[in-house]
Amino acid sequence: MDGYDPDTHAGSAYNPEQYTIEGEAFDRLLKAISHLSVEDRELIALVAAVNMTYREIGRILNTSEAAIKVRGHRARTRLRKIMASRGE
Amino acid sequence: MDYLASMYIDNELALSEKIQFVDRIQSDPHFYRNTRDLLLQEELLRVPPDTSRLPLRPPGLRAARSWFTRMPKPILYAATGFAAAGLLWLSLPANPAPVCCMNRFVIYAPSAHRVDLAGSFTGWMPTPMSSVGNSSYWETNLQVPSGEHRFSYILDGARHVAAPTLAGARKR
Repeated sequence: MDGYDPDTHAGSAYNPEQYTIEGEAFDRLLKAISHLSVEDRELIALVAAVNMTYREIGRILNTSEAAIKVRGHRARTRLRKIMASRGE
Repeated sequence: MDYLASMYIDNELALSEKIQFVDRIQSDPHFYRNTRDLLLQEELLRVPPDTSRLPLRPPGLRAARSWFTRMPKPILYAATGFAAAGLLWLSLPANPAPVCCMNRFVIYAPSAHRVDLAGSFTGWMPTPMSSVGNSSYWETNLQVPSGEHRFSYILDGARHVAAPTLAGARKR
């Protein structure tokens, strides 16, 4: 943690233990995402991380809203199976 | 019709589909469990660790965020979407991460004539990105030391684009 001075932030809302737990959970998720295909990662990023609509994603990826609906669900399901297979 | 679960998560259900969804939840325990698992996964995807609690904010980031929220929505969505995709690309290491390695940064910025990357690992000095043909993608590869970093894309020398999900990205 570059530049972090515990003395300066003693008594603040920052909780190192909670921060570490959240960080580890997010790291596990990123590792699982890294096992997805590029297309699946892109869809996960667009529907989940940025919360775009299917129509907007379809326009950007030059495909139909219906295709995004199905592909997005498959990407999510694949991610869930990867997380489950890794005990997460 | 399993994708009803994703449509529910993404708020894409029409009224008739909502009826199908609740009927299916009630009648199909397997569908209920799958939907719940996907919701828990989504919670993790959408709520990365709140690193804003750490004293790592670079100068000018607050101003950049202020500008960021005023961007036209289509541009905002496109830019942040592909920035997020670029972030997820960074989570790719198949082998144990070396102490220092090349990292690829990608952003989709169709309206930009020039894109720079500036971050804690460049001393907040703008680093030019290269356009990828006529695809409207811009990319650059940089060596980034292990640790936590902040960065933003700068469109046309003035417009800062900070990807919201990057606050939760952690590199080791």
